[in-house]
Amino acid sequence: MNKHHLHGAFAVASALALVACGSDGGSGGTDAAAGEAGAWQPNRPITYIIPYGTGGSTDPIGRQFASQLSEELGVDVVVENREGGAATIGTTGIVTAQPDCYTLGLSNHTALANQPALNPDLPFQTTDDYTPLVKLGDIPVVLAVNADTPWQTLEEFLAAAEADPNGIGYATSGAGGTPDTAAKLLEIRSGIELNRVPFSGGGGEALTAAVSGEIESIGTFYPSMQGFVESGDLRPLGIFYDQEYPLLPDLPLIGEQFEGASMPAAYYTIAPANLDEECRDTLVEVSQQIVESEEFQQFAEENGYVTDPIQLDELAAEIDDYRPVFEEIEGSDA
Amino acid sequence: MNPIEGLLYGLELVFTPELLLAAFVGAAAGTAIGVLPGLGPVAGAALILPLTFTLPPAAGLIMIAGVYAGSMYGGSTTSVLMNMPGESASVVTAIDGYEMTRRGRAGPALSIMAVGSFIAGTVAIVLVTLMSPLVANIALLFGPAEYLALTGGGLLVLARVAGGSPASGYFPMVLGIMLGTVGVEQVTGIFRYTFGLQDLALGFSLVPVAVGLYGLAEIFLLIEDPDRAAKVRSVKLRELLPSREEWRRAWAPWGRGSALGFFFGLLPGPSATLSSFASYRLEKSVSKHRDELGKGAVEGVAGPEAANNGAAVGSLVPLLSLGLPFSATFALMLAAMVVQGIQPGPLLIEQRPDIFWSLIASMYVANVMLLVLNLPLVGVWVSLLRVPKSMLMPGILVIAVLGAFSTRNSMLDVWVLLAMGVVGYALRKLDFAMASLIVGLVLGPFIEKHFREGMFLSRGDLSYFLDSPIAIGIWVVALVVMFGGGLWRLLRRRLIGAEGEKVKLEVED
Repeated sequence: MNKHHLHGAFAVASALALVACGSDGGSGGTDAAAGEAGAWQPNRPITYIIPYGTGGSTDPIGRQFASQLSEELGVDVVVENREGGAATIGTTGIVTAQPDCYTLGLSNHTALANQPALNPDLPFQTTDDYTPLVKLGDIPVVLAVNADTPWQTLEEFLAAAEADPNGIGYATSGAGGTPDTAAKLLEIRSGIELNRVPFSGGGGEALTAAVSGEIESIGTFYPSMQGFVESGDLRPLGIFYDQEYPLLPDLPLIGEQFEGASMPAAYYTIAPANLDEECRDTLVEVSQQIVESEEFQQFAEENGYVTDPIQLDELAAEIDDYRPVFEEIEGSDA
Repeated sequence: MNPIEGLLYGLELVFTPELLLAAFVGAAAGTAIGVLPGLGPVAGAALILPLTFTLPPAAGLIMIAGVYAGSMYGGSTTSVLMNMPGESASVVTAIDGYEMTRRGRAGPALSIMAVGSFIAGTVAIVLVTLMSPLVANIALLFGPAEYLALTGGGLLVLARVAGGSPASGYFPMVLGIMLGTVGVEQVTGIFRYTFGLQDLALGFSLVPVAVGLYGLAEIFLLIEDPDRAAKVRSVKLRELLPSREEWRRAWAPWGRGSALGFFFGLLPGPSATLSSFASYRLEKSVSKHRDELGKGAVEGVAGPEAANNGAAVGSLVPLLSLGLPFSATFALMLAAMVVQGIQPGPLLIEQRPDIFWSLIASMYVANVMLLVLNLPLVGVWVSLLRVPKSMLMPGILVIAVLGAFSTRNSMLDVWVLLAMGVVGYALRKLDFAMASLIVGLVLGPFIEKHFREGMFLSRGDLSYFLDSPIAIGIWVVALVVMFGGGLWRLLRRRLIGAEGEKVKLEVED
């Protein structure tokens, strides 16, 4: 209880701090070229908040969307990186901005579906507290083992894990991150128990540990391990996902074998609630066009994302579907 | 492609007018960024990163390299001139650099830094080229146990980096470690000691702490005793360049610092900072002029400045072998690459030799640019000291406050700066060594993190940390450095004492 109060205090403090900071990014020439879609026509730069640091692994997808948004709407879109608090600081910034369509941003399923349950005072408790504009894509977690381990298939790995509870090490980039959560879900669904080791300081250390054999297995996103798979240092065994993953079409889907054990990182563009209908409809239309565009599709393919441009109610439903899953995972810790 | 061909290939790629211009712009912007306390190499590179998204890969890369090298140098410039380290790697430079300034040798200190950075860059690039096959996978030998030994042993050895009594080193070190525990706990993300302040979630950032402890405390001391101020006789060329004696004394520390920095660069973690402290410690042990360290010795500037640059280049090796960036700046460089659709990994050098070698070459070109840019600027920087104190001091104060605020746009950091100024003043008055506070603040979180990772990995078995020959070796070295001197003296006294007894006995006989 006490903990909840504390979290609430942080959330409020963060909201106040962010409101106080305002959201003026840089400025730029606003030679408002005619937008291609919709009736709403922005006449000044739009701020796009990314709740992660510049140059992090999540920064590029936000920037890709922002730059295409700028092309589509004919105004500058200023990217603002507000990292920290498991993406809640940046998300709070988006949700509490003026609902005038000039502040949007990136968020993800953990910030929107898991964090509100942990911090009851975050200003985004339900999907009614913001406008879920469009889903940019999923990036699934891949399970891989050091090439010197004996396990050649997912079955062998799972059998070994079952025979030796808490005996096989599984490296992640941090407790509570998507790779960690994905493995927890597998543990709940399959009854195995892994020794999940959270490394911090960027995903590089978890990778180094898995490549050197310090730890037997690792869960991470495919692009960061791809080089080590190609060089033969790591062997991918399965994907914590329930749809076909084009980068690794032959790998077993853990989410299919174990009902509901699918836990990708999912990224969305959201905006404050109560947007003016005209500009909301324009943004909805434009953002769908962007995600479906050839340029965005190519970006997604190169960076390991699976796109699925669902919007508004459909997207809200997806976020709501994640809630019980996270609750189950949190519950299993107690 | 062998390394020498590779380097030549890379240089060929970067020697175009546009890229040289990019290096120049980067180095100039970096120096300006570094001179402002608050913006260090990583912040500088992060600032410039979005700009590079629109440039061709090589130009973006070289510009970031320039910003990095420039801001490292710029950060040390303020250390030397105003006792105000712009970033953690230049904290140790402030000790002797500022003393040199007070003795009127600011120009030589700056020149030695600039040339030293260039030499370290050159030495480290030669080492990368020749040795990378041998040391390529050293990072893979290091797990949590080895890193704990390195950071924990380092902490013990470096606590007394500035000399003085044990208490004067260990007390501020413990204070630094305690400050380092504030904020989001790294492994599980729990908030610690934030007392409901969201701004504290990111912990105490180093810049307001270092600028407060050094810069602000220095201003307080100057108010108390105006005679402390730096003396600037003239900015004639002869006064700006090091004397023959100073050149001669710089060579050995440059060499030792470069090699040490290169070695630290092979490992992840705060390699630039750690190597600059370690270099200072090394000079204190082996230099012929070790007694002068702390009083404005050339060695105290030459060694650490060479080391932090050597470390920057040394971190190219893990990049070469593993495709993993071990420093924040390389991570940003790779981020610039990822935007262009290039994924880092162990095959980077085979698949994209152009990217790899232009990275190395760009580090080198950035170092050259820095030298070209900064040697003529030495006079300008030194002239700053001739500004009347009644104007200079308030100016520094304003810049320090701005710098503290701009790190995270947080007022909290300004209060931290002011509080640390008072703490620093008190500690100085009581003869405590402030460098060890910084060591504690930098290394404390790493020690905790590696310890926790090791405990997770071994499922709570403490013997894991002594299960590795490398870890044991590092601990032994640390203990020898810590107690070796004392033991040796004790042993010698015993021996001499015993001989004395013997003589006495013989006499009696």
